[in-house]
Amino acid sequence: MLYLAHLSLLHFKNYDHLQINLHSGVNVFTGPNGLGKTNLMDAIHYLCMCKSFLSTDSANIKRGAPAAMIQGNFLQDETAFEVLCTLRKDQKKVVKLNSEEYTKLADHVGRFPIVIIAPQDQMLIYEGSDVRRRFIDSLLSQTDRVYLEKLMLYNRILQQRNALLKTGQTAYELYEFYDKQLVDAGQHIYDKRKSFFLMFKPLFLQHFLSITQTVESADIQYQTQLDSNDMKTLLAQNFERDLRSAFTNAGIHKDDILFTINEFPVKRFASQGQQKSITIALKLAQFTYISSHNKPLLILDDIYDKLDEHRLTHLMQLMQNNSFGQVFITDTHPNRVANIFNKYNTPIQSFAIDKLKS
Amino acid sequence: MITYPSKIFEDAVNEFARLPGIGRKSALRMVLFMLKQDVSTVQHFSETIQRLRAEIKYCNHCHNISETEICSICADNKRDKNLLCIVENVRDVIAIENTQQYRGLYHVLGGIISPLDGIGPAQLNIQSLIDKATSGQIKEVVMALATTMEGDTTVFYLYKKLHPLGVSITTIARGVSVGGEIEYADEITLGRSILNRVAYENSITK
Ligand SMILES: [Zn+2]
Repeated sequence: MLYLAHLSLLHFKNYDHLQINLHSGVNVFTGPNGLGKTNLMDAIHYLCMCKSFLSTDSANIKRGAPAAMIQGNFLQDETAFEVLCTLRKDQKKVVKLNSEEYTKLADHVGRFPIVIIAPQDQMLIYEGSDVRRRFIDSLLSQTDRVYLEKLMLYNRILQQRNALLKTGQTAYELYEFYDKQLVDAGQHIYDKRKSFFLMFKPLFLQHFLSITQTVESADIQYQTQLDSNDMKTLLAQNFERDLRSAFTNAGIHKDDILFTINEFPVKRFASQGQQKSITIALKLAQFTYISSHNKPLLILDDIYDKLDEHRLTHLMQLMQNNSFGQVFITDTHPNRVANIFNKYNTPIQSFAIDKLKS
Repeated sequence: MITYPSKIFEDAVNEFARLPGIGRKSALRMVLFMLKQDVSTVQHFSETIQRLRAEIKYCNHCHNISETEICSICADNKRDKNLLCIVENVRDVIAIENTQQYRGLYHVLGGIISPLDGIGPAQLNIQSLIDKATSGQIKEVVMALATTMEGDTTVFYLYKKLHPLGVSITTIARGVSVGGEIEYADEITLGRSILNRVAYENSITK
């Protein structure tokens, strides 16, 4: 099993310096808002994904300090790994595994997988399609190295193509080259997303059913222009339009996910409670999906006061069945989480955030 | 704000600090070093820099740096005028010349195609290349550009422009260097990759 045994921070966000030993099971961090519980979770996210789940790199260096450092010691089946992430003002961030620097950060992503459940998951329902694509991408990037490489290439070429469209130049040779690359990468990403949804949908439905315990039938659909035409045809069909709008109109960068309950779109017709059930089911399905490759760390950031009876029961049953590996929980209430875990006879390691910092 | 003992001194620090990769601390160190040198040494130093800017121009044929209208490589009668090596910049010419394996001429593009950075074909020395190919004096063009997406874009674009003119297109063996920047490849590897160049058609249809 994979877990983070030790974390140390230097000039990261509101932390000057912090050293902390972590439990391989459930770690609970309590304290009022604004003291840095979520920042601590973000540091763990950095160690796994090389980036924040909240903000840009430069915003994470403590004010006045030239650099921030996040260091973590992972253990997996008795083997130790040290991850070091250094953020410097106006410089490339550096990530090292066992003192060896990565030339491509993408090589690190997925090595130590992570899933985070947080209040901002609601954005998956309210916000634009880019948030939902990012959900798929961050998930697949952790399990499929080639996917991440193709995705980065696709995005880079898309930017070049859009920049070329803006210049209004009719350099057809360049479009020919960019389109050839977009077709290759785009078609690959489409195939991967398509087969991902086949596996993911039953996992999602299973968690949704366990959470809601109702007869409501939820559904999740992968929506993409590539279902009706292949990438090559789409680019050809839209070329005149692309030139006029100075933007690439069709491709996998337009993909979306549609959530429905009883065949009505969740975005407009579902209650707050139903929406919460959808997002938690999504994240738990993400956990189950990645677990089949390598069991991820799980962060439950500030969600315990928002769980109703059903959702709480489902989550605690998963805890009891050892479905999870190492878990990090934050909560404002000093005893709420501890009391729940006591009731389920599940041991935890508690940290009061104000004591950590002093 | 740091205060300096003299205005002249401060001006000198400011000038050194303009150099790429040089911060104010390093600039200060350089100025102090200069102050310790003989007047004649520093005079020679500044004259060399002045002459560099005033007298170096770009070769009319290949856009390499040169002291004359035509650079020493283009003017060399022993070099193969039917063979042209396409590079991004002058640093690449220096790297390839150091291998002593290449006996053709060069064409310096002055960059690679990247619309995101505002560089399209019109911003590069491409028309003069097409003119050369049209005049029929070139038989083979070797592409020695970085193995990045932008490098590949440029090679493809040039292939499309030059191939119809009856020029055969080759590329230096790929995977020359890890970073894709040919100036960092070691001389032996780079030299070998120029000798073992491959037809471009083969590399796009693979
Ligand atoms: Zn020349």
